[in-house]
Amino acid sequence: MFGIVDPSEKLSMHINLSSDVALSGLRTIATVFIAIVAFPTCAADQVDMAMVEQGRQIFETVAGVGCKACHGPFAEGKVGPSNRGVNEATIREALAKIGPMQFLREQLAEEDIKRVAAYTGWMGRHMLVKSLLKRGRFIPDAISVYPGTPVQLVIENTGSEPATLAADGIPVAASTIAARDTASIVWTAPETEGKSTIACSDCKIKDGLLAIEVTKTAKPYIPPPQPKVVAKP
Amino acid sequence: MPTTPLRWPCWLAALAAIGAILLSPVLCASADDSWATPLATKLGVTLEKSFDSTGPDAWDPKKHPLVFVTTEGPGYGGLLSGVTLPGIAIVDADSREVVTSQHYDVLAWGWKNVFEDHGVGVSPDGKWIYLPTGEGTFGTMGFGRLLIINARTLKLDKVLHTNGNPHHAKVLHTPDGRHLVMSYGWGQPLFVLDPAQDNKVVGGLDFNDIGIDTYLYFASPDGQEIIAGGRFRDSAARKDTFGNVMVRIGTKDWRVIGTIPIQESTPVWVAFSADNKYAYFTGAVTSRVFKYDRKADKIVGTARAGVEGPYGAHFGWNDKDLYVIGKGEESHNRGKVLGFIDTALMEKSERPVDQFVTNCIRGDHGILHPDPDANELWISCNSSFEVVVFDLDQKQVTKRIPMPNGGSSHSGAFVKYDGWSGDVLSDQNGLHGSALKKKRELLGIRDVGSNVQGAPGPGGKM
Repeated sequence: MFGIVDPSEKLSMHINLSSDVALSGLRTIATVFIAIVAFPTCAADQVDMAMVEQGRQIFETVAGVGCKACHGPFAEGKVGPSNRGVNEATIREALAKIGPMQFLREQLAEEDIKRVAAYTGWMGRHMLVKSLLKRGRFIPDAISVYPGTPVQLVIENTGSEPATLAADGIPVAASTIAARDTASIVWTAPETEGKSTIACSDCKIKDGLLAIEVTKTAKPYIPPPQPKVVAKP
Repeated sequence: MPTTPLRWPCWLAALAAIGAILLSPVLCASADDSWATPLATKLGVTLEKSFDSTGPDAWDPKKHPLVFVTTEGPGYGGLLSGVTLPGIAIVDADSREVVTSQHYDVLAWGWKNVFEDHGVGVSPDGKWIYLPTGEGTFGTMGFGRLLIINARTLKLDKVLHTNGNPHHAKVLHTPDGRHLVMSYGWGQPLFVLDPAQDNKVVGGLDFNDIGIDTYLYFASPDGQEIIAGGRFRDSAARKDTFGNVMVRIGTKDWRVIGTIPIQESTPVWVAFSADNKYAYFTGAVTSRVFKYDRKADKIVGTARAGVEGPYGAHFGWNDKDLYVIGKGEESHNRGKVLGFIDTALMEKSERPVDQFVTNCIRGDHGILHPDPDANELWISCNSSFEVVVFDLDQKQVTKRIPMPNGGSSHSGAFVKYDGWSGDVLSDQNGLHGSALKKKRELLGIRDVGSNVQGAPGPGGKM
């Protein structure tokens, strides 16, 4: 089960876990989205979250490989550039001009492109922070966030056993990441400075902690500018 | 060089070689005619020396229940290590500390020089270590040797003489339950040893049987076939001729069962998917990777290797991301990078995903650590004289293990020991036994081949 929590709902907590992925055992980078603190309500955030979720599914599966195969599971960039924040016009231009994307042209209907753009746009409004959970340790084990920043915190459980996350200082209930699966925690940092931690409560190594510091010394997040598409045969 | 007592009736041979013996602490036995088989004779493999390899334990498997066995040799191609003898090193696969090393004074036998150990293998039960070496160089004929070492004492047990210099040795589990070791070399066709039968030659075929010279051989996970790359003996042809074949060899009766046309003059490695469905070939001259559909019996996709002159190609535990060792084969031969290919993309795009710097100079093979939570590729570095541990999750080198005497590392095998009962879980042919079974469980692969039982093979105490 997958899901994206609509930030405009101002949920204090919403957890959505992907148990089917655990059953499959495949490391599909299926996402578990956990909204912890609501985003501020503003016009930019009044997005159709159902459309964003549809876009995410297309992003992960189109043509059997998904956009993620080249752009990364969280659009952070892989062999293709990061496309966090790209809009519909940019996607259409890339489909028209980028040779390696040719195979996608007949796979994406008009509405599909709009949905993918909704998802990439949504991602662009969040700062991506990634940490691996490997053998009970978080890598990196400390992150800093500027106050008030919308964050997509991705924790990848690299192990062959499920891992249960327990947070201290941020309002998230204990949740389990399946073996070789990924959790995506959507969260807006508070406006006040402070520290919190996430631990793995059932890992063999118990002392691993992910320290999250909300501080004005952190670099403020600036959503990426719209990239310029350069034609490639 | 381990010292071993003389074993009758070898004293005649020992006397005949008295000059060499005076220089060596080893008293060796001559070839035993009962060891030879018609297949051994056909393939040019003879028993040159045998020894009593019993003695005190050279290391303690209780302290080191999972080890990585690799070579420690002289080096080659102008990048020499200073080590002059063929040798092995054993590394604790968990702590990554060198447990022990041993070198074998073949020069005392009158050898004119030592051909770098280009590989190492361990019998499926962990009892024997196979170290390819010889005299001369790559094209030398008539001076190849395969050293068979007692893994418990690290003493020599046998020296096999081969026509061509042997290259690799590795585990082969066949569908009918045989647990064997396959070896081959430059000008030396495939020969298969049975550790349960005094390491006699029980399989293989020569280049006449194949119809073409072949280079490296890899067994499919189901053990039903071995795929070998065609090899042009003429190096100019390897650069200018692009039509070649991969050769499929059945392990049931050691016959060619098919060929696969490939647009690559110098195919090198074969990596199989754990589900038996696909094989991936590296091409040194085109610097490409070819995806072969085993059921359709054709190449269905290609990708650039992400490196110049690829050699080894290896899956991690997700069986999707393929890591290609940038050795610089048929090129600069000083590679120090690792290519990264998403095999799911190969039928849609020729692009590799990424390239990582390892600074593992002339790295050639990566061996997957058998612990899925480690998810590490241990890469042997021929010319920076170390093993580097590449973390496939972090996508970076997390540990460098210098060879204990500064020698060259070439290939390796992970072996799990319960006392002295061993189980090769991973070698250059990929995962074996319980590790392959674990991988299939994690990936939800239920259609398993006949060779993936959890049992390691004949087992038994040494």
